[in-house]
Formats: sequence, structure tokens, C-alpha cells
Amino acid sequence: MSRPGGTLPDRWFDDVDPRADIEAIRDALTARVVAGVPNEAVVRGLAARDRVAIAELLIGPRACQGPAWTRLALAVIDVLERALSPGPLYRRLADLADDRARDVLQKAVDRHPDATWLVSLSSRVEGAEMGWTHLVSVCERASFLDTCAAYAAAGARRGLLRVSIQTRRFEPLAALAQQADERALVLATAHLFRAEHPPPVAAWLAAVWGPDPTPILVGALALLYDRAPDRVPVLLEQAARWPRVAMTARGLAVGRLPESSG
Amino acid sequence: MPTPATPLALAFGDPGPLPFLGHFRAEARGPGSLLRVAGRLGSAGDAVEASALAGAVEAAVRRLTRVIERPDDRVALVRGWWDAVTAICADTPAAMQADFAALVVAGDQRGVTVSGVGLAGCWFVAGGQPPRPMVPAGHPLLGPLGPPSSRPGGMTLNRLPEVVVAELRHPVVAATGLRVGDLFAAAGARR
Repeated sequence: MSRPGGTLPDRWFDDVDPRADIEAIRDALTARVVAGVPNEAVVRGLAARDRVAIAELLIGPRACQGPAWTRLALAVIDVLERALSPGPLYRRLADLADDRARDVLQKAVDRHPDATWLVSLSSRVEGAEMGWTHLVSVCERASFLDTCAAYAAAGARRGLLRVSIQTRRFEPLAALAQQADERALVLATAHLFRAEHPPPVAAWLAAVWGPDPTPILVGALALLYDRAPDRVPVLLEQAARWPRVAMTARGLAVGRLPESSG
Repeated sequence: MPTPATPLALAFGDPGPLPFLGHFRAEARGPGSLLRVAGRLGSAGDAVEASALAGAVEAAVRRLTRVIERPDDRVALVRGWWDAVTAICADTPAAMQADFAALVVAGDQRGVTVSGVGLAGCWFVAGGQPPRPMVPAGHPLLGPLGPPSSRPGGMTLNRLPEVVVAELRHPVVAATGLRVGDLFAAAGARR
């Protein structure tokens, strides 16, 4: 394979001391990263000799930032995980990754789907959308409910709403119900009813919130009445068990506001 | 005729991610009478099946004052409730009715009656005091799960609590007793 001018060949790295020559290695790798030369094999070779030096190089205080460095670090993540425990490792990588932080989060989720520290990492990376990347990735796992509950307890709302809509599963609603977050449940319910073929939202609510979820259904009804009136009959069909929902709908039709709109 | 003071009837949620699967709660207001029930039926099904059964029970409760001869009489209301729910259970597959449990509270101008089936525990709240057990262990009110083979008896209260709350027996999980914290939230009746 031809080597771009000004970059050092792979064999150069065989002759350096990973710890003593770390700055030379950093400069050499930087030149290769800029030139687009693959570095994974070189880094693995260095790590086999001194994994602490490689950790220093990729996640230490003087670690370089940028998408190529993030890709390189993620390519040798197994090496880095042997040098540092995963929670602090991925947090550091996310801080270095800038706009590629979601790639770091996704890698962390793929490798540690049930780790509790993912909640704080997701918060760091996704902000108000916390939970989204993780929960969508683990929705088929037996631990999905527990993971939803962990995010709900940490204050995740928008991410859980998106996940409930995307996955059409009851677990995000159950987690919000555990937090007694009626407003979030109203929004999730309204969004779920906007789907072309909504899941059995009302039955889910009765199972997770309590046998009379009328306040939530009425709140969702008011939202749908404003924003998607064609979906109101779908909600009413599912909510036939709770007569006050239909009464509220009749009131809305004549311009009477519900007592509580969530 | 004024509606008599009648305690709220609540049932704690079950263990697990769907604590209120198959739970029902409803009331029937007659002339000078009031019946309240809380319980569970059909939790062996999925959320839709369980909700449909619970909804059928609630609808039967709401119809009660129109189908019994003495809707002003709490004892007649309680009897009518047991007859109605027995009829629903008779039309329900055995696997779906095995978890049946219910707490019934009815009041009229002469007093308040409590009845139930499948209760692991029953407490009352009165005068802002902490919940206290309504009956001792072994009392007939704390009977086994499932539709009763004969109409359960009723217990007349000699004082009037604000709330009666029950722990329903569970087909699999052992009873855990009175919940700590907000009783209303634990019973899915958030205020």
C-alpha cells in the first residue's frame, strides 16, 4: 500500500518505546490521521506492548480531538476498556468526541447494554433527549422496563416519549407512571394515538397507572381535539370503558373545556 | 334522598410492571345508597383482555341500581353485586377468573357493610390516623382467591372510616402487607 508523503510507515512504530516516545507517536499518528492512513493495526500493536501508553495517547489529558480520533479510539475500544473502567472511559471519549459523541454513546450501549452509568452518559450526550439512543437499542431485552425506569427516575421525559412512540411498547409508559408524571403520560398518549394503527394505549394506561386513567385520557383527548381531531374517534373507541372521556368529548364539541387537560 | 357517607374502596396494585392489570374500581349510586367496589379479574390475559373484563365488571356495577329491586338498600346492593360478578365469572374462562378478588363497601341510611373475596389484608383509615387493620388474620373477609362458590357475607361497621383499602391476594406472589407512603398512589387512585 502506498504511503502519503510525510507520514511514517507502520514499521516505524515497531521500533519506538510507547511510553518514552509518546509525543513522537502522537505527532506521527496525527500526520497519518490527517492523511487518512489507517491506524488501527498500529495502535493495536502499540497497545500489545503498553496499553497504558495507548490510553494516555487516546484519552489522556493531551488526547487529540476530532472525528478521526474518535473513530480510532472506538476501533480499539476493547484495548481502552482494559486500561480504564467503562464508565469514566466513555464519559471521557464523549467529551473528546464533540459532535460524534452519539457514536461513543452507541458503542457504549452496544457493549454494555445494562450498565447503569449509561444513564448519566446519555444525559451528557443527548441532553433533553436522554434515553433515546440507549432505550431504542435495548427495547427487546428483558431489562427494558428497568432501563426505562432508570431513565424516568433520572428525569428523562422527551426521550421516553420518543421511545414510546418509536417502539410502541408499554414500558416507557410504565416508567412514567412510576414517576407519577401525568403530564408526560398525557403527551405520550396523545402521540401514540396519532399513529395510523395505535397500540392499545388505554388498556396499557389502566394497567400501569390505575383502573381509572380518565384524567390522562381526557388530557390526551384535549390535545388531539386541538391538533389532530381526526384521531379523536380512535381514542374514544379505546376509552369506551371510562364514560367520562366520552362526556368530555361531547363537551369539547360544544366548546366546553375539560376540567383538566393534563 | 342524600347520598350516605360511604368509605372509598381501594385495592393496592400488584407486584410487577403492570400493577393494575385487570383491576377495576367502580361505584353505583342508588336513592340514599352507595356501593363501591375495587378488585381484579383477568390478569392472566394481556392488557386488552384484562381491561375488557375489568370494564365489564365496572359496567355491571354502574347498572346495578337499575336491575335490583331495592337500590336504596345496601344489603340488596351488595347481593346484587355478587350476583352480577358471579354471572360475569361464569362467562369467563377458568384461567381468566382464577385471580378474581374484590373489596365491596356499601352504605345506606342505616349503616355501612363491607364484604370481599380474595383479600390478603384489609385496613381502614379514619380521622386522619394511620391505617389500621380492619379484621384479624383468619377472618372470613380474608378468604381465598377466585369467584366464591356461595355469596360471601357482609360485615357491618360500627364506625365510619373514610377509606377502606385492601391488598388483593396474588396467584403467584406472596402478600406483602400494608404499603408505605401514599396509599392512594399505591392503589392507582392518585389525587
